[in-house]
Amino acid sequence: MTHDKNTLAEGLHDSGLSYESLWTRYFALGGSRTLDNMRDRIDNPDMDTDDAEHNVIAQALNDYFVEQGKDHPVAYRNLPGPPVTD
Amino acid sequence: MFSPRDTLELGEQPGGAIDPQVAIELSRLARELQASDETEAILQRIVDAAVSEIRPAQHAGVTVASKTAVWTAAKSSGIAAELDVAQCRTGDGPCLTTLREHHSVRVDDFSAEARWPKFAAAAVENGVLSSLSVQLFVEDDDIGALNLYSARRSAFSDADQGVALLLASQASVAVAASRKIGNLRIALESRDVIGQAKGILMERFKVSADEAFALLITASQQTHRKLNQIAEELTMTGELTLPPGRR
Repeated sequence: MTHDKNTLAEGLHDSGLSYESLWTRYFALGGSRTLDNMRDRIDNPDMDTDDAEHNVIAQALNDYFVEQGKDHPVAYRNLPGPPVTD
Repeated sequence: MFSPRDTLELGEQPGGAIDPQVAIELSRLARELQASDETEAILQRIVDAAVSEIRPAQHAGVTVASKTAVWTAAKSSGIAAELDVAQCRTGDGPCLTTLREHHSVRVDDFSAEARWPKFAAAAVENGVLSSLSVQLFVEDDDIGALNLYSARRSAFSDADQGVALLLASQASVAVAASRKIGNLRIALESRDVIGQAKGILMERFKVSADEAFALLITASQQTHRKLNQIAEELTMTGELTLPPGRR
């Protein structure tokens, strides 16, 4: 069961990861922003309108929590559903 | 109890002059380490330098401790590894104290050492009478210590401790840089696999790159696995686990 409840900032705090460690994980998933830009997105969520980038950061945090045996506690934003196929 | 002269914080300057030739060697070592990006090679170079530049050191080793394990990452001889094993077996000793309390520990005479009696006996059995342990680095969850051993009593001077701390500082910088490079290499490999996986999904479902990434997220949630594992599996087998009826 997924509990989409934590913000990026809450997830980062709970993980204990540094911004730099998180950025490396975010970069590994295909994230394209700089470390400073990623930090701004976490610290000022209202200023961040790019859902896709938000979700890459959220996944970087959730991957960390999966390693710890937890299940995706950080919320995604406007995640598109899977395509309907025949 | 620790006397004032056998404990020293990392970065603190001990008394005693350092031989100018040793300073030249340390400077050369710093340049060598800057060019190296393999953590194991860096630690072995530090151990080799410790034995050659710190005269009383007959054996040297680097011990690393994580949350769950303690291991010998580099050694100049079997004695250094043997003493690491003895510390793990007895659960205490100067190296573990350095790792735990983050300060240097100097032992002048293991035959009269009361702080760690079981380990002291093992040291004497291995022909070691004095030691010097300094903290090397703290990286992620790992803590490292450099341990020097001598068959002589009171072998290590303040100047030796100063050289050991300089080696430790150089190792800290080099290990941090090598781990950063190593992490970025792993990140680039992962990024490449995820890019391939997104390409497969974009072609298969006629979706955008962001939508393809969202599909990988959904599969990660469904299977409680990390996204790069999903991507790797997709690129290897063409399979992707999605909610029933949507595939």
